[in-house]
Amino acid sequence: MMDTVLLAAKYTGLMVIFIGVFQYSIYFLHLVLAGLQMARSGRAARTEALWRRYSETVPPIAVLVPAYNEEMTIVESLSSLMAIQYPNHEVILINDGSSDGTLEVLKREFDLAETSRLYSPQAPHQPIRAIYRSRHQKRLIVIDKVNGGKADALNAGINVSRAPLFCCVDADSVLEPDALLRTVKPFMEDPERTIAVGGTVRIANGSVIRKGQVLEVRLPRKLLPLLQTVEYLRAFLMTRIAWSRLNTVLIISGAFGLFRRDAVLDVGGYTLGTVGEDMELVVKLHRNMIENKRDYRIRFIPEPVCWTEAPETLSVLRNQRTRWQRGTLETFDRHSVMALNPRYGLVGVLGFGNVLITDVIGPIVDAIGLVLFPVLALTGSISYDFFLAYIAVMSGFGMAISVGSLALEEAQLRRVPKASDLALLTVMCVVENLGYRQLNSLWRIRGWVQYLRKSESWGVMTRTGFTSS
Amino acid sequence: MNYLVIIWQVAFVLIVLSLVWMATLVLLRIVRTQKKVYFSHLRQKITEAMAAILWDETGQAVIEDRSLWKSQMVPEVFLDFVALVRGEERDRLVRRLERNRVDDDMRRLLRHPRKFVRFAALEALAYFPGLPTAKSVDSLIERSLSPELRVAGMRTLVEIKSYPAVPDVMAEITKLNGGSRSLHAVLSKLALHRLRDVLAYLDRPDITDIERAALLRALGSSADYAVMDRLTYALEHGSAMIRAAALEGLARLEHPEAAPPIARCLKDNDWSVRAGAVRALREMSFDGYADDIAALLSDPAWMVQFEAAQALSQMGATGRNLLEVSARAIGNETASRTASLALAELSAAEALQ
Repeated sequence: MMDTVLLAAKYTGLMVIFIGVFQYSIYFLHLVLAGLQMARSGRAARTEALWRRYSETVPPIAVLVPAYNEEMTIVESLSSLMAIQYPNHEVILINDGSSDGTLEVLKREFDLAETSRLYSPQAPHQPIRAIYRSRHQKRLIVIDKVNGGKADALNAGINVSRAPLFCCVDADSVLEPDALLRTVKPFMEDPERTIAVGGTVRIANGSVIRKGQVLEVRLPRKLLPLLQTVEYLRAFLMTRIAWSRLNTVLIISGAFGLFRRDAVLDVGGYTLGTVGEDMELVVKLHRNMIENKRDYRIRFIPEPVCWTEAPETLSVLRNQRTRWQRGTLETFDRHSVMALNPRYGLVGVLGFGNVLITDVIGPIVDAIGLVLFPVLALTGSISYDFFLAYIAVMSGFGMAISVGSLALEEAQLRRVPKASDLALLTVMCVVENLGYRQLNSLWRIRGWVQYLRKSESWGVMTRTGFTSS
Repeated sequence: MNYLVIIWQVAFVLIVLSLVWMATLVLLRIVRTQKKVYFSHLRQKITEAMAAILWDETGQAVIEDRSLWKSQMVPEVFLDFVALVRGEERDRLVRRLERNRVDDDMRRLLRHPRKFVRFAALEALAYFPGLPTAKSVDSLIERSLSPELRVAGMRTLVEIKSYPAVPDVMAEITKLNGGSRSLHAVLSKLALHRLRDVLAYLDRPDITDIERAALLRALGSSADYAVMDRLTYALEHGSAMIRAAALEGLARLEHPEAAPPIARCLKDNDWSVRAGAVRALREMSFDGYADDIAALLSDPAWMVQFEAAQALSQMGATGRNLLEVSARAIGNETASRTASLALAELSAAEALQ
């Protein structure tokens, strides 16, 4: 009996190793594709050059900012968005039924006057209480509506906006002044086919930020945000660029993305009642375009930078990661017909195949390995090579991939300020794989459990605010 | 060898390789930081040299340090500098740089291995018209594999009034699935300055719908009323994309007799054509079709309702009256809602002023 259990455990261990090797083969493929893509597109042009080239022909953009209880930071965030370098944009702030003084602060600071606006009720959302326009900032519109969540608020913003493109931005994020100019580039170069573009989101903890502007880029001083810096680099500079090359980007971060309004309205806007509304929207767009046999592009470009504050405590980070996992599973479930379905082309086979391996099965396999291998090693049931192969899968390949992503960043973008910072991040690439990634896998299992229990909680997301940076 | 051994050994090798790669990049960064200081100094020197040439009172200043002007940074610094000087000063700067053969150096940079240097050189050369520039840019367009560079080259050719051939521009539009917005701007200039070539291309029997639509849109910028017949004829085309493009062209052309054919499109089967027709009438300020436009306040397509409300809002008293009538209309909820919101917006805008 004991022998049978051991044999079964060994075979399970082998399965864990081979699934791990398969996952990392995909990641290495991402790294190669991302490297090719970045080498092909070359280094980004300076802002002045972009300005010269586009200033006369850029399409109007509506910047949508959903806000809930943001009275402490909203004025600074809005001021920074109003000052962004773009010749033709309006900012629409959606006050999603805040229970604090967000609306009062806005009324006072921006001299808001109630107005009316002809808008389409195409995407569903909670009722709008009032629409305001600033007397001295002609490009600012404030929508006050009944609370309904982020997706609901964004839908209201999409309905009220009139520009052909809209950009969704989190109220607590900071955009680089030229972020819109850079993100609009694919819409300028391929206006007929491009329907959505995502840009890089980076960790702002530690940087010097004043009045909604990043004055000096610095690395976070605390370990947890530092580890997330490496994680974000891997996610944005490797995975998404690689998928962009194959037109299979499945997620554009809710913190910063540019979309064609008519394409989003075609799919009914954001889906309400989901925690992963950003991924869900992009998958819906893919599905709609493929089912209607339309030629389209969803792009990710590495350069535009949106700065966001990363969680600094384990509990907040755990809540965030659990929620992300739930969002991914919800989207996968809702569109499971696309998974590995050749009818949906590369999106179905590669994109959804990757979600299946990495996000659906991945955490379970990781958790099995984390429990199984220490037991097998302690009981002396596996060989030295068996154990080392597991360590390679658990941490070794991950280190190489993380360092590879950082190398890509340095080769193409060079946004890490100093050589010493690069060296520190290299160390973090190694450290990240010795406990942090495994912890993440356990949080993702928690996400699985919450998903199966149909939990709808968003968890608490405590932010310290940029002014303390 | 056991496959488990291969797995951990491969991982080990990859870790070592990636760390070596990263260590090299860190060292390179240290070197680059030094180079950055050098380039910043060089930029400063070029800027100062340009200022010296521009404000030299004798007008005979000769560039002594030729090596400075061969730098890859010259076009970029020139573009930044030229953005700060206007009119006569700008002309003087360009003339003096030409006399010192700086434009020759920039033309040579069109063969530079770095794309952004070629790009800056292309843009800068737009200030140095003439046969040598046209030839160099033509040659770059021919050999470049980058669509971005080819389009930038075409823009430069248009700016120096050495217009690219219509078939070349159309080939680029086809390659780029309808083309970039910059390319459409090039085509509009061709319609203005090379109308005969554009019309000849439009007469080809084998052109695609994408090409036809782009050409019709561009015809609107030709400022030649003779093209109205072609645009009007295209309004009968079977493809909605082409009908919408023809409407855009007519709106740009602003022919006083274009209103009746445009107004006929208010009853088109395709919503994008109906919306385009309302937009065209609004842009051309044709108020004679207010009743037909008001009827579209209850159109099934939101975009048509929106355009109709916008058009009526801009029509003054006539439009406002029609909006008020529609807002009060019983039994037509869509028109009533659209008109009410448009009126409320109009009043709010007036109150804000």
